[in-house]
Amino acid sequence: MTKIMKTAGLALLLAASVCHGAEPGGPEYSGSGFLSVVAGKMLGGDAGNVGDYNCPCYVSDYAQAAIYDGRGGLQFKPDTKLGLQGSISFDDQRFSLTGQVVSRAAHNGGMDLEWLYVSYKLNSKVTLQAGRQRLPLFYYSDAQDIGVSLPWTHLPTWLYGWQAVNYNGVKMRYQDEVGGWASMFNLLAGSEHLRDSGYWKVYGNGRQSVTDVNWTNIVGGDLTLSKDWFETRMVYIQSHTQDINKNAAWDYTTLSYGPPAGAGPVAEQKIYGLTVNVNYGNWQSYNEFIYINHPGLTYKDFSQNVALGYRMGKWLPMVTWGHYRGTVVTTGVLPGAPASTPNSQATIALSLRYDLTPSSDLKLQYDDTHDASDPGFNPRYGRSRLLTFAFDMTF
Amino acid sequence: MLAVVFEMPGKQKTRMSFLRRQQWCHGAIFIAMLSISPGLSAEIFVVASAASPPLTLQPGQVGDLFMGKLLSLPDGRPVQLVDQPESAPLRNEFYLEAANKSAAQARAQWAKLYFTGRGIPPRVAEGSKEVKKLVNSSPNALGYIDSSALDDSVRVVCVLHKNSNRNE
Repeated sequence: MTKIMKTAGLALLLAASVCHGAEPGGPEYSGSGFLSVVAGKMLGGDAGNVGDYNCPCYVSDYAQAAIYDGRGGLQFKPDTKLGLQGSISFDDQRFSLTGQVVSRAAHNGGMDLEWLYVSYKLNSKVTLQAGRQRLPLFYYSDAQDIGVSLPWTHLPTWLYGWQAVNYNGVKMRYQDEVGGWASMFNLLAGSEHLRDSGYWKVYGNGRQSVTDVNWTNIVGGDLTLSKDWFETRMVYIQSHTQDINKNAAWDYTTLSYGPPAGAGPVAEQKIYGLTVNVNYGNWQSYNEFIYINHPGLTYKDFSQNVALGYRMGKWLPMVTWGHYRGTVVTTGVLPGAPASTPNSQATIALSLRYDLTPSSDLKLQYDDTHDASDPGFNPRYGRSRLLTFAFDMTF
Repeated sequence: MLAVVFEMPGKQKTRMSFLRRQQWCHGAIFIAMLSISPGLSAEIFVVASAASPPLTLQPGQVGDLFMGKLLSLPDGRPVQLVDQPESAPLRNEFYLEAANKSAAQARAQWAKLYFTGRGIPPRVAEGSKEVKKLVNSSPNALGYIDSSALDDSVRVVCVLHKNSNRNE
């Protein structure tokens, strides 16, 4: 099915790019794209212990196994990407077919089908979508590959790093003004079956490992409200998850690959997220919090990201603090024992964006990451200091 | 030549602080200085087709429409937006007044919406003359022009006063 969808998506893009325009009374074609060229240099840090990766290292995109490691010189692979999107619409744009492919340097330039879906506008306020599309876990989930849409060279790792970013399913979207608030409400359902997860390579199983990720029975929704300088978003998504390590997993005792871990348990997860954004005068603040409960498992995830910037004409300096902690829930497992926090990382990022044109920008960002995980927890990222420089554009 | 300003009683002429968006759509009349560069009058007029149904929009609604947060007019009609060219100073002024965003921020927002299937960016005209032509081609179209381009061929649905909506 993935091959069929990929072929259909590429055919759509080719048709849209070649046949841009509209035929009288017929379908309308459109094509566009986005590009990010990002150079990074690791300035220093700890040796760390992240499988067979050379640390100090900084994971800029867990889902894509995009990692800056301890080699010297400039690294372009983790964040450089090119995306192409095409769409065909009919019936005065009520019905459309949209496809997007992204070529990532992190995948050695391989082209991945990000999404391929049909949209139908029931009316001016309600849109239905079906197909492969982005899983809206976070505020910037939809735009996570579009550098021009972000104030950073890469998304805050500790918040946005997760196994699945897309799903196959349906979505209903409702947009309207309610009580003076611009409102958008989404309901979604579907599943994701991801082969060779990038996440598990950089989160412990090693570069050579192959781990499939299944998210089934995905159900959820999000609500975004905005008025004047204030915007908030609330999200709830639940699913069942299962990770299946198929070939080998890194053994942190022998520091080599061991036998495959096989299939993990099918577990439930409940994701709760809250975003509060403020755009008051020249001040811009983006704040996001997420809590993930795993009933039946022994841990919970907490992550937050707080960013404050000040726009000065075409310049936007910003300071961002991101933090993740995985808390082991020992209640019921070890009665009376206190909960411990085995996994905890935090990053302070200083970023500067300059708008070259309305459709392109330059960014410079310094990330300083600290690892406060328990000594026995692996993978251990340790401390890392990274400098990245980005050029983003849309076309 | 001095600017002559006629204003509603009680309103300030200078930049305001801690503004909530007020109803400036009716009541302020401004005679522009001839020395002001073309396209930089003190007001920005949001316009629709002269043949369109009567419509009045608040500045906040204009901002939400041109930032893709709303896709339809208050009466439910799907909106079709017309933008000034990227090189026009008026474009940046419009987005600052309507949405407290720079033109680049607005473009970034539309890039996000377009690449995620949530909206189609405004159609870009070559200038105010084409803005008027395009809004008159559809009863659901909205565009914006400055006072030098204003005439009877379009209907004014909102007036934005420069430097009046920047909450600081």
